[in-house]
Amino acid sequence: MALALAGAAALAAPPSTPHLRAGAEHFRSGRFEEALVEFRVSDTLGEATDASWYVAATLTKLGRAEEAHEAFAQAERRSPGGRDALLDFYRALACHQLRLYTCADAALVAAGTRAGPTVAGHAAKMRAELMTVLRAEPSRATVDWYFERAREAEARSQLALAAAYRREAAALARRRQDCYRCDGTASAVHTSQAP
Amino acid sequence: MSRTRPLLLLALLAAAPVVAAPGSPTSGDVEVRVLLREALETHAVPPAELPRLPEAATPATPGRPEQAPGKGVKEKASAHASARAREVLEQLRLGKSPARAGWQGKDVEAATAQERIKKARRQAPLPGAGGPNSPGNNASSPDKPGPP
Repeated sequence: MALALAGAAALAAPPSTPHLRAGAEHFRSGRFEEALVEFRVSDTLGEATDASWYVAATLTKLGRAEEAHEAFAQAERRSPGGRDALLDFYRALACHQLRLYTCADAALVAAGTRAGPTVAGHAAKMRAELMTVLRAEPSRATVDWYFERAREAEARSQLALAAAYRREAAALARRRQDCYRCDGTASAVHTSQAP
Repeated sequence: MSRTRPLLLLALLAAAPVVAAPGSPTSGDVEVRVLLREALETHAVPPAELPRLPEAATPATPGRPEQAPGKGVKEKASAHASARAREVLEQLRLGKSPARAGWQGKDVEAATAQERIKKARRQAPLPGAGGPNSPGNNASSPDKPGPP
C-alpha cells in the first residue's frame, strides 16, 4: 500500500515543465539570457504550454524587440489562451522599443488594470506619454520612416513586424491633414514632389 | 486467487510514472504559474526613454537591454561573458568539439537550447516520439557538424 501511495505521488510533470520553472527562476533573478534558453527548450518540448509567450517577454527584456514582436505574434497564433494582462504589458514594451506607439497603446489598453496595481500604474503613465506624442501631427519624414521599416522587415521575412510598421504608418498618415501616403502605396520619392 | 495479488497489481499500477495529460493542471503547474507571474511582475518596468516620433535619420530601434540595478557597464559585460563561458563549457562537457562549443552570441543560445532539448528527450522520450536510434534523431551523433 505504501508503494501505491508513493506511486500516486510520483505524478510526473510534462518534460517541458522543469524548463518552464527554470526559466521563471532565471527571469525572476534578472538572468534573461539563461531564461531565454530554458523557455525556448520548454517551448520546443511543450505540449499545450504557454512558453512561447515567455520567450517573447524575455526577448523584450533583452532589448531584442524585433524578435520579441515576431515571437508575440507567433505565441498568439499558437497559444491564444496563454495571453494575459502582464504579457500584454510586455508586448507594449516591445512595441514601445520599436517606436510602434499606437501598437504599444493598444497593448496597454488590453492590459488594462488586470495586471495588478503597480503595473496598471506604469501602464497609465506610459499611455499618458504616448498620448502627448500621438496628439501632434506627424511629419512626412515620420510616415516615410515607418514605411521604410516595414519594407526592411519584409525583406528579412519578419512579416508580423512588417505588418505592424505598415499599420503604424497608416495610422499616423491618417492624422495628417493632407493624408500623406494614406493609401500606403505611394512611394516617398513620388509624393515628396507633391505640394 | 490469493488476497494479496489484487493489492500487488494495484501497487504496481500506481507506482508506474504517469505523465499529466496536456492541459490538465497539476500542483506543479500551479506553482510554476505563480513563479512565472511573480517573475514577470518583478521586471515589469516602464521604458526609461520617452516616446518620440522618428524622423529620417532615426535608428530603427531605440531600445537597450535592461541594466541590472547597481551594475556598471563593465560588470554587466563581465557577467554576460561568464554566462557565455558557462554555455561553452557545457558544450565541451557534452562532447562538442571546441570549434562548435565556441559559437558566439545567438548561436550559443540556439545550440544550448538544442542540446538541452536532446538531453531532455533522451531522458524522457515524448509520447509517440522515436527512441534514440529512430530515424531523424541525432542524439547519438552529437558531434555532427553544425550550421556555419
